[in-house]
Amino acid sequence: MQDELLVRRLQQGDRAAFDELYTKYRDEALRTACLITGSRPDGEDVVQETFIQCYQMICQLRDPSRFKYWLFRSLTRTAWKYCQRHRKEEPVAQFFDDAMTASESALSSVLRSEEHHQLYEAVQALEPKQRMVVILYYFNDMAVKDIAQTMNCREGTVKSRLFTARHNLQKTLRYDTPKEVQL
Amino acid sequence: MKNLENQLRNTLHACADHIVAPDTLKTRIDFAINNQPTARRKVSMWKRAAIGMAAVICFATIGAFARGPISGLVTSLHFTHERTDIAALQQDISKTFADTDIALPSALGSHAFTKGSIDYTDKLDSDGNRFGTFPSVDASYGTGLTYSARLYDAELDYGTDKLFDEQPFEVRDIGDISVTYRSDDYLFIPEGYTLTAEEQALMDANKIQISVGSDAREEETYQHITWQTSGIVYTISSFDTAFSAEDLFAFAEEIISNQ
Repeated sequence: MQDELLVRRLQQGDRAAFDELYTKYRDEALRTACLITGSRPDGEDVVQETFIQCYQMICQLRDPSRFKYWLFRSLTRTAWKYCQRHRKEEPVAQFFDDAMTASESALSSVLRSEEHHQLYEAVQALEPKQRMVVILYYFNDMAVKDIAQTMNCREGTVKSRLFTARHNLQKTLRYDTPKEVQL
Repeated sequence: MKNLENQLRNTLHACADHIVAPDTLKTRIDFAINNQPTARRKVSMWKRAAIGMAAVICFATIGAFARGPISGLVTSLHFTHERTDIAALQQDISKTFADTDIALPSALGSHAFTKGSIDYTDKLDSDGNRFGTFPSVDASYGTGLTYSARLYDAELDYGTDKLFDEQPFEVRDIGDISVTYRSDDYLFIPEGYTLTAEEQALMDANKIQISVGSDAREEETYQHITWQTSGIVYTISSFDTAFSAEDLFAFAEEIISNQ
């Protein structure tokens, strides 16, 4: 069912609509939160807080068709707070190990490769706002304008953060400098 | 460049695509929602968050906070530790508000301290997203008085203009401190409630504040007296109309003279 209908039902107090929205977005929200915070437990806390806020504030969502971006706006803000609070994030290796022990699917061997490990570590080392932009763009496949709406900033700011993030990643990983950035 | 972008995409997906939300997460969310009903929280915010002149009007009034992004306030989801021992609450204050000299009076006039806690309130933007949280100490005295203190906040504390027409408003100087008294009429209504023509007219005329989210329709008068000193905003408030403005000024004077 379309988000718009579910949101309108939820705004009228239909709890089942909340459950459907949760089921639809829970995994993507959790994956995004884990990537931003670099921690599975923090990711779960962020998602918990986000959906509670969603339930309590849904009446204030004026355009139900934008539900996903409204939800992710709340999620990124909550995740940002967690990043600020827990500046010392979980070691990368531990994050991978936690994923393994979760046994939700076999973590592909490629993850164990040094290259991917280093790249993930470099993403985690980015300044949180750059990291969020990178994750929303490359993991969630959000367009720049949607990221801008999600993060409540200008599209130019998103592009700038993406550029800086890529530049920082290249420096860290010693990739060749790009000639031009296409968004 | 494409190489980096592809690797980035692949790495992030390889890293997280296997993650699935456990059933326990939904259980936690349901538990929190079921134990903190929205309606109760909103009303609780109004009743407890006697947090200054601007805060009181803000929840249903987008734009009330003209200087900042705040469109509303709501009680935060923090667990509070309610104290009935004033010394224990004073210790909590020392931990939460280090380097301040917020002191709890043992009584307001003849009304003794009964209980209190450190509470947290969330600032909401126009989309209902939380972007800030602030603590306050809220202590109850007698059966209907609340004494609150929190740090000065530029987004909350501006101006002392009268907010609602035809409702009591008075400013007095106690020593060198300016103390503001207000008495405002509120109508608490459940979600989905349709205002009568008379209620709508009162709201349109700025003579009453409507707050959506209570369990039942309630009319209440909220009296509060507020002052600021040394970076702290103090408020004494009551929904009990047995207290007069003079009573509240007398309580404020008693506290200010002891500070």
